[in-house]
Amino acid sequence: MMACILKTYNLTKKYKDHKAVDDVNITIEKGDIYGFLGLNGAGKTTTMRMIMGLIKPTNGNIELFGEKLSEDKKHFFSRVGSIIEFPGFYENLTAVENLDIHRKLMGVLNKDCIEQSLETAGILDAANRKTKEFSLGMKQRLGIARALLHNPEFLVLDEPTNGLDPIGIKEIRQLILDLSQKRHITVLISSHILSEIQQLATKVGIIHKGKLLKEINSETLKKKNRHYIELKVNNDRETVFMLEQKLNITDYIISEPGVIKIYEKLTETSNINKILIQNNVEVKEISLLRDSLEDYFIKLVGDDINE
Amino acid sequence: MNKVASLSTVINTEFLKLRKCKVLWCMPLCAFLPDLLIFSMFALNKKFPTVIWEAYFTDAIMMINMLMAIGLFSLLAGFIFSREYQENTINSMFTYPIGRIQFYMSKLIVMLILISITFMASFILLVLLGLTIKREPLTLNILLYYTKTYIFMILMHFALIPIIAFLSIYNKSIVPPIILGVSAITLNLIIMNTPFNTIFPWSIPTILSPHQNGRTYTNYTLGIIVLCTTFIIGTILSIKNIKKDVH
Repeated sequence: MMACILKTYNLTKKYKDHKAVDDVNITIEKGDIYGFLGLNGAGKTTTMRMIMGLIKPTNGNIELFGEKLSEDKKHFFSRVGSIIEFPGFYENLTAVENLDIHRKLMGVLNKDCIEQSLETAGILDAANRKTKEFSLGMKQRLGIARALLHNPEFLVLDEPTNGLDPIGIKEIRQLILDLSQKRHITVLISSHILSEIQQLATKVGIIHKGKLLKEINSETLKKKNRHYIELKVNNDRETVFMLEQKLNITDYIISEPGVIKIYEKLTETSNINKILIQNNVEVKEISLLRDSLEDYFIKLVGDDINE
Repeated sequence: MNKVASLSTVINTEFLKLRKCKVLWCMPLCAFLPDLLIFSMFALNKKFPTVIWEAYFTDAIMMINMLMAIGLFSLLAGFIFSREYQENTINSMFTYPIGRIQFYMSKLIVMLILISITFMASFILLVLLGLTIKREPLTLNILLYYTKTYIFMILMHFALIPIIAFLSIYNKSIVPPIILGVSAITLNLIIMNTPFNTIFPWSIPTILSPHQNGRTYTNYTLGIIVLCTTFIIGTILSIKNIKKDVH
């Protein structure tokens, strides 16, 4: 059985009549990269703040490294690195000085870790510059350096790629993957950018209006990432009959009236088209597409958005 | 496994945070400006041909207590306690394996040390400047008396800090402590010559220290009780607020 790093039980945060987080149950096992996905204001940051002890839950419990989190049990946090929302720094100090304060407060004796973490986050060049001169992206990188400095077992990253340019986003994504694969660090990462989560996560939790709508594991996630041929036709039944009888295709779904998704024989687009036309099925459109987490996410939360 | 930071480490990091901070100019300003003004008065004004230590110290102490210390320490404490919220470092500060009260205590101790350095530096400079001009003899008794006075002043001004800390934490801003500092100085000037001068916490350091135009009776006990109460209430309110959710 995999060791459980984080488990929340009916985690709830209520502000007057509004439930920012409503009965959220998350399970993160060792080695997971848990993608926490939701629209802005869905409750991702509030949940992460509760996990990091910044706000008290109205109801429910949090178990970190197998022990219940409480106000007097803060020693767990020496094993956790975090960026919650936008990382703040002492602007009168340099990057190294900021990290030195963090090192001391985390009880790390070895000073070399400062340089190492700055190098890992790709910001070693700016080590001796005051943080007030830093751009948003540089601060984000310094935040990552700070989160990694004390060699944590668990990383809590709230939208860590905010403010980064596309190359920076790619680098941070690769860094998180490396940390997970090489250093076996467990990661909880939130984002409202689906592609980011899709490329990183081994497990995804979708939160909407404070409720955790769905937790998807890596297997399901892979399935949601399949390529398919999309057929837009005038007659579903006849098309399906032809696909089964003439082309021996069984892995398909009718996603909506007149739209069929075929998950096999992806290289035979022209053949499928030819056979359908020969059998008097009117093919309006045929294209090779890919299922994405985005489709799934929109399907889950879409009704609410449209209301 | 990392070592849990001790209180002395937390205090040390609080000092590190203050490196190169412009707000620290409050300290030399509060320490040296009254000294230089009083010294120049005795050195240049023919009305004061000789340094009479009692008058010399009393003038400097009054200026520090009434005008400088209240405002400048409000500013300094306001900065120290509110900056974590204003610079958004609170999110990382409260995720260390260190209790919130320990951070509060460290900041309070840092304030005590800064007030002590300011007042002691001011005292030493005042004595040294006084020795450079025509003066009456400086006896050990005089020196000890004013050393004790300055130590007492440190404690009195420190007792006013938790209320400032509370305002900073509650409002997450340096502005209310500045407003309080300016208001306290102004009210001080009005209240000083009324029977309420030992009830208004910010006039107590002046009243309980040597001052000009002193009255025949000073209620030391009431003044000390009011300052202690201010300290305790300020501390309770600060601790209550520092434990609140951080958004």
